[in-house]
Amino acid sequence: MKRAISAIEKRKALPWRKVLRGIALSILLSLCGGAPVFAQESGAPINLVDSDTIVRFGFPVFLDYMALESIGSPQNGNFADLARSSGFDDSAGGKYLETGVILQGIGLNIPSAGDGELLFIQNAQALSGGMPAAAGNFLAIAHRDGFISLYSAKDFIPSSASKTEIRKGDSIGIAARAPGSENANYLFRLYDGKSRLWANPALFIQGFNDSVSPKITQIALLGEKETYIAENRKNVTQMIPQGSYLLAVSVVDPRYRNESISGLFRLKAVLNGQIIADKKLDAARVTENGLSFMEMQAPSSNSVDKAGRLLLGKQFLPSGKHTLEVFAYDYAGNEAKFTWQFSAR
Amino acid sequence: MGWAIMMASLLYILLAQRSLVQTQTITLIGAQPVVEGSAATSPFQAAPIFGFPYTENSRFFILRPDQQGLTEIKKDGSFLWSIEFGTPITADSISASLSAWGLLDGSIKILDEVGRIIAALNPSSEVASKYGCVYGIAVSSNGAIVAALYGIDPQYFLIYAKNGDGYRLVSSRKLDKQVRNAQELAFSTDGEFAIGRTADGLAVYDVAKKQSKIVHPADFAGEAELQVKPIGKDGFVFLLAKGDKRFSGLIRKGALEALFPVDGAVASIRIEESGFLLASGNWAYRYKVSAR
Repeated sequence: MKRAISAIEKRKALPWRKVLRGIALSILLSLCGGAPVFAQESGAPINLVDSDTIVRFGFPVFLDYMALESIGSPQNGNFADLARSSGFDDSAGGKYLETGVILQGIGLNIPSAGDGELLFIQNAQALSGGMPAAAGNFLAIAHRDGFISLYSAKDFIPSSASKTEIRKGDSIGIAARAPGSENANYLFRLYDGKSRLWANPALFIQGFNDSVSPKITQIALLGEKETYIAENRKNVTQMIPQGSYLLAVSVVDPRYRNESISGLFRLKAVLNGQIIADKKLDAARVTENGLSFMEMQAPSSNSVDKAGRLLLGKQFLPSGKHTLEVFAYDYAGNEAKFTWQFSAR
Repeated sequence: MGWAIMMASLLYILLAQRSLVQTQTITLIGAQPVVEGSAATSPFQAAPIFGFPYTENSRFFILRPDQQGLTEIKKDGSFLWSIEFGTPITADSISASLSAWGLLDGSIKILDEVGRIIAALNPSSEVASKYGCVYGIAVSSNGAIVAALYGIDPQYFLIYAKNGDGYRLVSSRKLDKQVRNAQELAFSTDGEFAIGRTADGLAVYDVAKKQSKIVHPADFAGEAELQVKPIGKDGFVFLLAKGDKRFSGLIRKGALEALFPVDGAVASIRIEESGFLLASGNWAYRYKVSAR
């Protein structure tokens, strides 16, 4: 089956964007063992091309359903912030990561991302068995090729279940006005049922107006007993014991004026000139144990530590001087780099 | 008015002492104002977990805000187990030793008391719906039978029976109409009957006869919401919301034995030793189920 992503194909991409797009697609293809990821023969089942109303983007993003005003803050718009603020912390599982991005509605209306059929409406305080409806009201639309799009928002009132055939752009409900805006913001999630992936909707959006680089706010090496935080003080070389460490990184993708936030897309770590991690945030794979982000083992709590830092894998550090370079890219192609020189003994 | 409340309260106090007998008719025995701010302490206060607490069958759960994972804790708040699902939970059923979870992607997970997945059911491999989604689920207390409302185009009322280490589909009833929101399904206490609302009417499965049927379409079909709770050995009490009207009633062995209108503000049912209680925002209506 011929597959393409028209949203991306239509994008007037800059050369570096094309490179990133190629990387994204190749990763998506590799995630599916070579099988195409986003099924379509003509036209896209999901089409966010016309979304010139993107206010923020991140995959995934944390959403506090009880206080969705928080999505008005740019700092919450990316993956790393999600991890920090997800708030769900238990003694065993730690924090978790959640798929989704925040988009802006048309006024208070939440538009459908594509033609489809109403699959599920949650418009009650409890699930069928009595569990609290923790995600609040939400609505799911089944599209062709196995895609399901999910919509939720603060004070979201889904449209009636009597209308089951939905066209792209139809209002599927209304939500509360975002602080300081005339529009509602909503959480958008995209599930590819055929590939069993939560897809990063960035792949369906063109024209991110994001000129600001992500910001690497912390690099840490997590040892069995101690954690070492990178410091870049002049004339001081940090010393750490030799041994195995988990590399943990905190990144934010800030916003500049009225620009969009395209969201953290890729993290790369280079140790002494050798790439030790190159992780993309293009999709989360569904496994029997939960969600696998960045090719880490599911559940998603394996991809983030209790301090909310993203985990890039384990590395043995022998005695000697080391140079660790961490690169972070947002989806618009902006790059940030942090270089840490330290010694192990 | 005050006298009436006082008399009703007195009547309730007197009648509430009477034990429940095997019953077939229902009598309102009193109504009382709901006292706000229960003195009962929350078992979740000790839990260092953020989420939505829920208790069922003396088990304590914290549901994740994205509705895609949960943790079971002990009564003192200490951790028991945690799980993350691939897609959001759309239906749940919890017994003393098992729990069943229906997911948006149409799959069903059956977990034991330590959170292990003992069965992963995939209705899409057995019935042909255009889209999969689980709209309702119930597991019998002994885990022998699982009932589910599944799929779109068409929708099915499915029954799985325990078969060795797994479950086998033993009944699938194709429905003419379909719901798009969660529906409550329940098993009777003896595990012999499962019921649940569908868009065609009330679906009933008789375990002994291995038969499912749709009954009382006039009352239960169409746009409505149904809460249902097992009562006695083989009965169910229900609360049916149709538009701004509310009805309650009793079903025994799949037969509707009582149906009557109730206060439009009634929102929940609670089963008690001597009958059941319907609670609205400000009032609680206590019913005794008496012998015929």
